[in-house]
Amino acid sequence: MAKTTFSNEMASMLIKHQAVCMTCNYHGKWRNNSDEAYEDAEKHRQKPGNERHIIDVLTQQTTRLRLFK
Amino acid sequence: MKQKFTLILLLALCLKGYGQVQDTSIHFDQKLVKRLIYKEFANLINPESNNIIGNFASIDAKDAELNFAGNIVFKNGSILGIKANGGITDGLLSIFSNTEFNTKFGADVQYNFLFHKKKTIEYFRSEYLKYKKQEGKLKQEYKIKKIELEHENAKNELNIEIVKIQSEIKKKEKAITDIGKLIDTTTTLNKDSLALQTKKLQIDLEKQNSELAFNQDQLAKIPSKSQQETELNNWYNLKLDTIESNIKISGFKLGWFSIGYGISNNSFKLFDPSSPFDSQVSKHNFLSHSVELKYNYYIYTPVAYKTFFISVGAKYSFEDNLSSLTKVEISEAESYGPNNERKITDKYNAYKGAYKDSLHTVSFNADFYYFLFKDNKAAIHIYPEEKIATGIEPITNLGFGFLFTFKNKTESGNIVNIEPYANLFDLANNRHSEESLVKRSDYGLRVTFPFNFKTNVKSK
Repeated sequence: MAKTTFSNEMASMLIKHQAVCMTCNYHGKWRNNSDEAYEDAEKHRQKPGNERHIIDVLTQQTTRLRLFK
Repeated sequence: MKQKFTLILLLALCLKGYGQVQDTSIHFDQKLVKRLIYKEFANLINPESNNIIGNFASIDAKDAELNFAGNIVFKNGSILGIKANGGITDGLLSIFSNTEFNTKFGADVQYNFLFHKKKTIEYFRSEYLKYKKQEGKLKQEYKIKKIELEHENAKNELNIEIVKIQSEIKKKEKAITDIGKLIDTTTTLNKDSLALQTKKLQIDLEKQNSELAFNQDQLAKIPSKSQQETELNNWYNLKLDTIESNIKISGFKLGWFSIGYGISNNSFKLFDPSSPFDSQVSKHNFLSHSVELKYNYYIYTPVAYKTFFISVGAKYSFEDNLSSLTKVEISEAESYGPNNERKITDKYNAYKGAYKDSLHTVSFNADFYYFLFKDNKAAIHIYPEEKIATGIEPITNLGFGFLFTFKNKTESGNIVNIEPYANLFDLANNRHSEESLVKRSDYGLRVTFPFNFKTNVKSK
């Protein structure tokens, strides 16, 4: 993913990604790039005992409308 | 007029701006708001939280109070919550032992301004990719249908079918004529068998004539190009709506203001031991009103120990001080028989203390939930309140509870919320009660049943 922020004069949107483990309570750092979040997921899976963990990437999308510039 | 025009222009520009970025994201529209209410807000709903978001029925064992709440979601995403409650302030146990009850009935309305300019939602990427795949497939299907429409494919296909049937009919007619000739001339072939073959061909011919008439009728009734285009676009939009409503929203951040109005009627008995015996117990009735302004902030996420809700508000009430009086149980016995061997006893509750009504009260309150464990299964609930009333000492109350949410295994909606709670009344004993803090406080169990109305919003 090349860009995570989309904006124009009236609206902006920020997208962040985070690896979240469904099997345990692990969650990675918020990343601007989804690939980095997937790398976090694989790092977590590579730890001993985590081979069969189910990990997904959570995307957070914030939309902000600008009423005045 | 000029101001109105400027506002409309601004809104139009905002919507245009939003439209340009939404292609890479998920809509935050009325359907999504509804989904949040019916599912994720289910954790919060209980009558004590003062927030009427979510549809629920609840029972409070301590006050034997029943609450029902429902919501109307407006097109701008805001929510009007309506709550009705009724109960016996003597408590649930009094139903089995007492003969007369002190009652409370009320209604609340709350408008939640959820059209905030900043909105955050969270969804799993696997869900998003599934959505994008379905959306891509639909777009491709739409493109193909559009090309077919542009080239009047439906008309062409019908014409091809008609020509094909006409040719088949001709072939069959010729075959029937040929067999007829053969029947007249043959000496070696079985005439009965030939006659049966003719009959079979005639049946087929009749069927094809009927099919031809049907196709010719379809061709005559084929809708105009613009009508077909409208129907195609409607089909596309409906399919897209269905795909979008299938996305699971896993989290959100929302901040919003709400205003509310409440009316409540208390009907109760007062006990004054200093009065003459006949007038010691008197019946009273008081109608209280309240208006409230709140700010709420809710962060909900599937990540454990990161979900919380906070709400702060100010409330003006025109009320009485019934909640600060002491409840006492009164027994009245009537004796019968020459030696008073038979007694009939009536039991009821009454309130003791300096009763004051028509009080102008201002209270500042907060409501805080911190969710624990995976899937936000439980929460610590704290709700302090500072109450300032005309003519009486201000008091600080502190309520806290531990909320357990029980979820349906197949859906994420809660089936029941159970909260044991304690309401510590007048922490600093500003009103000089003779009872200890433990005794003048309330303890109870709240059981709330969130329920979903049927909507076109898919369950998570």
